[in-house]
Amino acid sequence: MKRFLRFSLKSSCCSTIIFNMPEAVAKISTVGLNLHYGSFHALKNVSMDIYARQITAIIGPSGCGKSSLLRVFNRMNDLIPGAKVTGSVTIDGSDVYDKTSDVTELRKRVGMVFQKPNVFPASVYENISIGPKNHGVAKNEWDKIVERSLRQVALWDELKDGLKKPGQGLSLGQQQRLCIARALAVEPDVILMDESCSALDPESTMKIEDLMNVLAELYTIVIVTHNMEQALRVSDYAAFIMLADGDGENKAGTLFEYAPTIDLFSNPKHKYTEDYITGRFG
Amino acid sequence: MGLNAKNKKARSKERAAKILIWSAAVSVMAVLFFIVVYILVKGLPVVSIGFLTEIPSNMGRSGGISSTIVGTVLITLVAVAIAAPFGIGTAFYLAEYTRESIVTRIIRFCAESLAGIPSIVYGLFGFIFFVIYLGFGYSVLSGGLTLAFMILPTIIRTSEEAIKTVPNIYREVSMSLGASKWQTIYKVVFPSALRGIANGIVLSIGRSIAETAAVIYTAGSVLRMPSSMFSSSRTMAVHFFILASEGISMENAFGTAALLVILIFFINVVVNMLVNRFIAKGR
Repeated sequence: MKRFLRFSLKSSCCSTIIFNMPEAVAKISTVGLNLHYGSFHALKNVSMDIYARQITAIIGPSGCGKSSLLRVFNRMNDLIPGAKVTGSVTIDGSDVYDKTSDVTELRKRVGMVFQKPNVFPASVYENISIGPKNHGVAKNEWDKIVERSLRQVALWDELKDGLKKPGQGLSLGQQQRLCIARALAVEPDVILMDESCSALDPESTMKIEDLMNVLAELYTIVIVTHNMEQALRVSDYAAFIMLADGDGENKAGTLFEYAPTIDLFSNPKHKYTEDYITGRFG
Repeated sequence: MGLNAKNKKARSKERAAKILIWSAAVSVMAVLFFIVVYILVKGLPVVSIGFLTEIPSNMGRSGGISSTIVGTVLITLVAVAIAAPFGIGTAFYLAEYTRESIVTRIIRFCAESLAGIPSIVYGLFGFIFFVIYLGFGYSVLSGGLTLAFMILPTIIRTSEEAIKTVPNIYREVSMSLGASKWQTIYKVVFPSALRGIANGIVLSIGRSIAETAAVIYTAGSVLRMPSSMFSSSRTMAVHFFILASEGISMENAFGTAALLVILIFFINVVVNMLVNRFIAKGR
């Protein structure tokens, strides 16, 4: 936010707009990304760069493909029958959907936090160590990883004496922070957060937002949110997605606008963006 | 009609429903309680250390029932040891590795048909296939294998239900942490489904222990202590059946019945304890 950024529209037609902010380093890039669920065109021609160590918010009305876009980045859409991705998605320059790329390696690098706190029915310790265990990290490292991850989410002091206690016994806010710690334990570069505060009370939400700001020093964070204030508070960049009739075809999720958050909110280039962020629909 | 009148009617209906449901529950409890108490009262006086440790003599008129206890335990162990891995494996295949298709429908149809076959038919099949064709003779092995086929559908059905109740988000979280499908099943789905799977296995153990028709034609009814998988053996249920139906000794028949009830109760408690301990370890 602090540095000077340029925002340019390279093309007049919205489906082929390329959003380009060359001063920042791109962590994830999509070019001409299309996502189909069977015959439904969920995302159409999305080209955008997600910048390293920034918080990017994806906003838009319900059902526009926000979560789908998030799940393109760690290939969670692979689990949905009939999902098909075309176009290119790269992380640090390597192709995410290449036949030779390993989904496990990708998901180690791109962690995810879900909408509701979904702590496994196991101890706090087990919840955090499950990732490293699966990836064959040596047993004597687990204690260190658990402590480091809990410190990162500011839960260590609260939980260090109760690591063997069931994780589901914590408050909802603590559970969601535990879920973030669980994602951090596999040492990702990118953290995807899919409406991760929507099930929480305002105080817990505030704690998670503070946490996002701290984590953004080290990690690239992409959030999906319905909460405009939250997008404005925490994100450096914002992308507005909406279902639109592209070129007279069926409706498809389209990236209408992508800019530094302040610019997008103070000076929206597109009428739909303005209508949405001012609460006229959505 | 005022508000009050309506309220009164609803309240009396409410009360009637409560009494009806309560009496249904109480009568079920009473019947169960009566059966168990009747058997224990008739049977327990016969039960002694000798009854537990001695081999039956004089056709079962005197002596204990130790060989039939060992026979029951061995045959049930063989049945569960064979049916559990195949049953649980099939359940995971159906629930995790396939989508609804013609293949899963065929597997489910087969399993459900197997569940509906009368146990005496399993006995006949076991007699023809294991006892005669494979030459295992009347034996613990033939009896156990036959019972394995009999309890397989129960294990498949209960395990599949248990696996399906594991919230899908657990699988998603596990995959998002970079776990493989097998790691997800082994580390996340299986522990969450364990209690339901164990319930199915307890149910199957109960059915194996209680089964008479299928084992009488496959394990035989020899009263000697079984010395190997290939010795013929009489189970407690078969012993009870022969003692009672041939009028050999009603007292010993009730003693055997009482021990059967206690054994099934005991297995229920032990399996639950094991499951609780396993789950507690994970917490």
